[in-house]
Amino acid sequence: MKTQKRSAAAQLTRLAKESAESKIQSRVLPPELPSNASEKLEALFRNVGRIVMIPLSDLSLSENVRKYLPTDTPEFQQLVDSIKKDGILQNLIADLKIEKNGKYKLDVVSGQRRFLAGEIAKTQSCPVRIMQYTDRASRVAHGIAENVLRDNLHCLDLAEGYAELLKEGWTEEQIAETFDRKRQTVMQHLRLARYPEEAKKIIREDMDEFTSYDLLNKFVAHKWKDTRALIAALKEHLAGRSTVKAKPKTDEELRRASKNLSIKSGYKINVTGTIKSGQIVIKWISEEQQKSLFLLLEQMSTAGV
Amino acid sequence: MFKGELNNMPSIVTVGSEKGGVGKTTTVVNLAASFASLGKKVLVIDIDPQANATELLGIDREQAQNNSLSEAILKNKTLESCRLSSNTEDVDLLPATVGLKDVIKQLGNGLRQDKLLKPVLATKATDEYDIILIDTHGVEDCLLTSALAASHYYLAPVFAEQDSARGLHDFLQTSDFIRKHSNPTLTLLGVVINRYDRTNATHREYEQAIREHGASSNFRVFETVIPSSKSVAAASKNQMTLVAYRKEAPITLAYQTLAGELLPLLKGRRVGRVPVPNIEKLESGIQSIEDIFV
Repeated sequence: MKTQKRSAAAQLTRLAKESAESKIQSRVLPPELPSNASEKLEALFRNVGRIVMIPLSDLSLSENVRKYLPTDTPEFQQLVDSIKKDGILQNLIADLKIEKNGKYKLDVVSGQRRFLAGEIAKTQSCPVRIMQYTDRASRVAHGIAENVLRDNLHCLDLAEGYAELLKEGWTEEQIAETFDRKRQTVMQHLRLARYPEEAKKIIREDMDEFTSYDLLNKFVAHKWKDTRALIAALKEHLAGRSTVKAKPKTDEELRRASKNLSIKSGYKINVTGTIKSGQIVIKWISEEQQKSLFLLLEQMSTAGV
Repeated sequence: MFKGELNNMPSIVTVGSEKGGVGKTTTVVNLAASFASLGKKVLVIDIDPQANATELLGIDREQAQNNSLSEAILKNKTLESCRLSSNTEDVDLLPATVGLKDVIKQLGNGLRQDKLLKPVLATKATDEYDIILIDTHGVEDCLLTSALAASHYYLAPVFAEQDSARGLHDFLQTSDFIRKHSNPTLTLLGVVINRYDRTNATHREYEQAIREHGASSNFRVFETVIPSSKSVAAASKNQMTLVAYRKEAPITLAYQTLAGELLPLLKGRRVGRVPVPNIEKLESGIQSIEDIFV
């Protein structure tokens, strides 16, 4: 008994000693599927709703909410590098479909970006949550959800996603609440989704050139006489001769600076404009604040600032 | 059973931070529901006398009167006689009551102050679960140390606000103390960023800083971040988990993805090497994280 106790204590010291040196904990990957085709399908069905390791070659990308995905950005390269190092850590979501010839198809619903990065990083397999969607709305919603989490969906893709949810019977309110957006923003997107195909085609051909700011604040906010006027304006925008103007937006940096100033000074300070031109509004809430502010301004003018 | 599936031993995970409002309860309840939706059997132990997790899992005060953690500790009962089924399938609960305050008063300074939970879990019923999640409150007391002493793992939510990094540091310090003194295999699973707003520059800066500190101080920061969402308040008002309240919402998906990221790390009782966060290094780096908010 005594020796047992001593060895337990020895083990504790050994463990404590070892622990000081070791690196971040290793992972046990989710279960893999059997390689035999019929067993594989059976295993897929058994694991609907769960996460399993799936070879990348078994996944397909058709019918995704996202139509636009730039792969030449530094963020995408970062993802590729991280996957080369650690593999794909976050599971994708795939829709399991049985085709007429009895073969199955796994459509990536969420995680398209990770999938493409995984292919470039030459990953063999990755964790996938197998789903069998009974209603289309859930599938579309899961596709859009990824946008809010991490990856930027292009504004037009998002708009068409919302429109599809609306078609499936969701209300605008429901869309706004589910995705934590203002109802007004959802309405703007839906208006964009209702643009004539011809206009959407122009946007699709050069998606980089149309930011969501451009589309929502310039084009959707503007009332167009007819389709021809809209198309002319879109083309003008592409040619860099845009005549549609939106209200200048306050620089993010300035906005943060004004927020910090407000916290530090105790005054309510609001800055609008850009670094080149803009204005500051300072509000005081007591006589004391007013006096010290005026004193400060006086000092500034005498110092010739 | 596939290669790599969990063995019969449940993985016990304490979720904590020594700062309130970072989303410990939300994390516990929604991770529990997410694990369950991925086919795992889960037990939630609520050690917060405010009993928020208990409420969210649909158990009210009367139901918890005779079936609670404080009953179990004070009357030497085991898990079998005190657990309740929650409002979520495959999630059971060992509820909290205000009685936990008596536990702190009576046993808080006793000899066994960090061994209050172990006897409750030393029973066959424990093995019915794949994962046991413990929801804590932001105070270092006998309940928190008991939870850590009975756990295999701990998980720390943070969010992009001043003092959050400090709360993380203090929790890691408490946990490391328990590791050194009574639970040598206690392992930090990682840090999860909560209530994240991708469009907020401060949040993005904070995320980057905490990831850098994770890399240099030897702790994992999960890839999955939990977005801020009005659904949390709405679900809590309805006493529901997010999985039940809004299954399509991005935040629900985020919890399920986090659960997926956690599963490969949970292996029941650990033996051998334990990764340890470098707390001194984090301590020296905290100022730079806090500077983001100045």
